[in-house]
Amino acid sequence: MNKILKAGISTIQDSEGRFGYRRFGMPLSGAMDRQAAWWSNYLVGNRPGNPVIETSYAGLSIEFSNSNYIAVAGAATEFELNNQKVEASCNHAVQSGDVLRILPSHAGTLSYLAIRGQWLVDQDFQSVSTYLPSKIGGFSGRLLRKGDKINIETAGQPPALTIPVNYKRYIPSSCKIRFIPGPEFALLNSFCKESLLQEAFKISQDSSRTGYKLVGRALDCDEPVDFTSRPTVRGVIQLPPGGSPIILMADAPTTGGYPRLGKIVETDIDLLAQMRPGDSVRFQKVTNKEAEILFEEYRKIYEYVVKNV
Amino acid sequence: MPIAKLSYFQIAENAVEVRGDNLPVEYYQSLGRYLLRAVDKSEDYEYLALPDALAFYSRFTSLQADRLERLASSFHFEKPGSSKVEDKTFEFSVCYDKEFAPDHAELEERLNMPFEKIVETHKQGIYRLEMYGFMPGFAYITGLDPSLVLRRKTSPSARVPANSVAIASQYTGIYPEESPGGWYILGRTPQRLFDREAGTFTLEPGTRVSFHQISREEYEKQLDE
Repeated sequence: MNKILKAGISTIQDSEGRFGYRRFGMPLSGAMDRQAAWWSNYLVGNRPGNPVIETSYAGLSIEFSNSNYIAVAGAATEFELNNQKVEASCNHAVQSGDVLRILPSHAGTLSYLAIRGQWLVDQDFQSVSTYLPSKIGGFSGRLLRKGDKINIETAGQPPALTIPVNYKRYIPSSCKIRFIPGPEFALLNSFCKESLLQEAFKISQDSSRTGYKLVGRALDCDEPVDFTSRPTVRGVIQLPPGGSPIILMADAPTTGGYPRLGKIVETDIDLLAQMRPGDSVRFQKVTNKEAEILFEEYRKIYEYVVKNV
Repeated sequence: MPIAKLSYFQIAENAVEVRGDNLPVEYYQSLGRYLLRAVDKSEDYEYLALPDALAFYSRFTSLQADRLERLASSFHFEKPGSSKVEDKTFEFSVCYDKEFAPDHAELEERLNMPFEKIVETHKQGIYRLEMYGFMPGFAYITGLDPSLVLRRKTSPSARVPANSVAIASQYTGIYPEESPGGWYILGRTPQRLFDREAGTFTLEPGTRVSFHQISREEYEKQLDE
């Protein structure tokens, strides 16, 4: 069994999350940066939705129990195998007793460790994705700990693959995130709309898998007084009283009581997930049509991975 | 009833919100079920019905508002209780022992009636599970007697025990697990709200619900089963 030597902040996730349970109040969860999870699996010849370990920053260290193949994608562009630095752009063969360590990266926050084969991890409500607030999924619904063991059925040698150049993504420290206007965007006054589109916001320390809080000039908007719960999904930009937007992330609640200014396009949510506290974001409004085109491009990434494993 | 006028909103690339005027929650629940039957692969779609809206989601394909509008155009609403729609009642066993009702004193004070009367009134009601929200498996149950309606606590309790039955505004809620909470706890149920291994929730939204008072001994007995 592959053993966690040091956990850092790590959970087991799959890229899709827990679909089909929203009407029971169950968030989708799943990988924060989905395309990174797909690519890590791609590099070891796993299906894109195979379980992975999602880890924040550095610290994860794991000892492998048998001959296998592993890969890392996301923030980490290199990592350590048996105390030697290796590139994260391809898969690596490991033997029993080999030790991997995730190192601090220059940019980004989340790295995904894929291990070739079928992960023998229990599903909770048809998914391995961890939802910490309700202790659902993953490893007993909690963060991974030193000593935890993960059993994986090996699957032979994968093809030697690298991420195609046109799909390689570099993580900046400031970015523009595109969104489609939400149902309550029309309720904003024009000053508020302009502020949203012109201001730069910084990611706050007070950010989690549930949502990233933004700080900047408070959006001084007139809000509807009696606001009922509305359906929310990952990527929704909420405006709570106080004027600091929150962008819901992977563990987005199924409903929310704040106005929904918009919804970030899928591929930009993945990028946003990699932004660090202090990094800056600006909003760019796009039309439903433009978002649809971007979504098709996003799906093509997934389909590329599916076709090549 | 006449064809309802609905508005459709693109809330994500793969999610659409449907909203009408003065429609009952049963309308949205029924429309959600209808749309699941209307699509090609129902396992790639899901819905969430709220008291005033329906959200319909696809797993990972584009779902545009105009397509959903076309799918919904043939929907015909049948009210629950009519001959075509099954309406079984699920009975929750509730132990209203004061040990399971840490808020009994505050309830007496705020509602200005003895706890015994609060219990009597609560257990006689006919209720409906309107929706889940706030956390997985937290059921919002409507049908609370007007004499029991009160605003939630201003400072929530840090620890509401799992399976607590509580009230706030027009709802009875059941906490699926221990959590902080601002509702007034008046009892506890031995029944499980979800089955983790099976990956199922006991009750679908829209289910008719009643509360049946049980003794402490009966509670302990049902807990062991």
